[in-house]
Amino acid sequence: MAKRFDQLKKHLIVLIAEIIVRLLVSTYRMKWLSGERKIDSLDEKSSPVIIALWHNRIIFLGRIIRQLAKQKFPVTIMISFSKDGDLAAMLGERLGAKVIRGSPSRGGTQGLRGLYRSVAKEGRSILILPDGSKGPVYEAKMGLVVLSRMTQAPVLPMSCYANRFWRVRSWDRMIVPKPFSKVVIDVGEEISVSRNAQDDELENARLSIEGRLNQLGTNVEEYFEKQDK
Amino acid sequence: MSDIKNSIIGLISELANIPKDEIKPESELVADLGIDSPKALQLLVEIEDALGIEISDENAEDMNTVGDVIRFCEAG
Repeated sequence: MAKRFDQLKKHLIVLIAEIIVRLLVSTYRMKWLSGERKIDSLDEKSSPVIIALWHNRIIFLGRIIRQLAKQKFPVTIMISFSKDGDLAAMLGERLGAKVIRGSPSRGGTQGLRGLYRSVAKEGRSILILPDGSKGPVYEAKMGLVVLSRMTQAPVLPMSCYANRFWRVRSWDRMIVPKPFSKVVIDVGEEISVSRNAQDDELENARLSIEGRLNQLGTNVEEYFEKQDK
Repeated sequence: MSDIKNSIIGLISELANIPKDEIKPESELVADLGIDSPKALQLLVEIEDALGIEISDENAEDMNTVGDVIRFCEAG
């Protein structure tokens, strides 16, 4: 009985969270610096890609998942086994993504295998937060690079920022744009990893992904700094 | 040495950058050989492809040593 009540409570929290996310996201005024056409063109016939953004931009995932679901572009996300993760997983599914559970600290191999199968066997794409689930912030994990090498799906780096936002007191100081704020998105060039890449090339690819994500982060932040001048 | 044992040790040696003769059945995959999640993913996929078998997540979780991997693959 208590277990059923817990489940019901979880469903209710997720439903409320979904309504809040949908409402919040619908008030944002979106501005693409680049990559809008690339994202808009993704559909069920597109080849799989691995879309990467830093963990503190996780709130924007809701917006991206919803858009890709509308375009019938199948995506998978990996969410940790934590209690917060339970709710995030339910929310992710409700927004239209397939959810694989795992994180570098718990169930990492299982999670990576799930993502690998998603791409290699089901032709799905991946939305990944390369410094998740516990950081260090802005440090990409090698799992992303290995997945890209093994599936030959390129990494598509992305960043977002807003003119008005709250900062959550989390390890990554997560950003939550305030209602009716202007949100800027920037998408970088794809990064491909050679099937035969050796350890040093994998490390170079990892650094390249980190660099590209940080550059995109600077681009979107500078957009508002220039507007203020 | 059986073909399966030989090829598994070869794969692990390549992934862990450790000479074959230093890899023993009792070697722990994580603690002794540094097989982290990304390397484990590569190892499992390469074994599945090479031997034409499927390794479930539950079976993979039970593989702690090189010997565990060899025993599972020889039985499969």
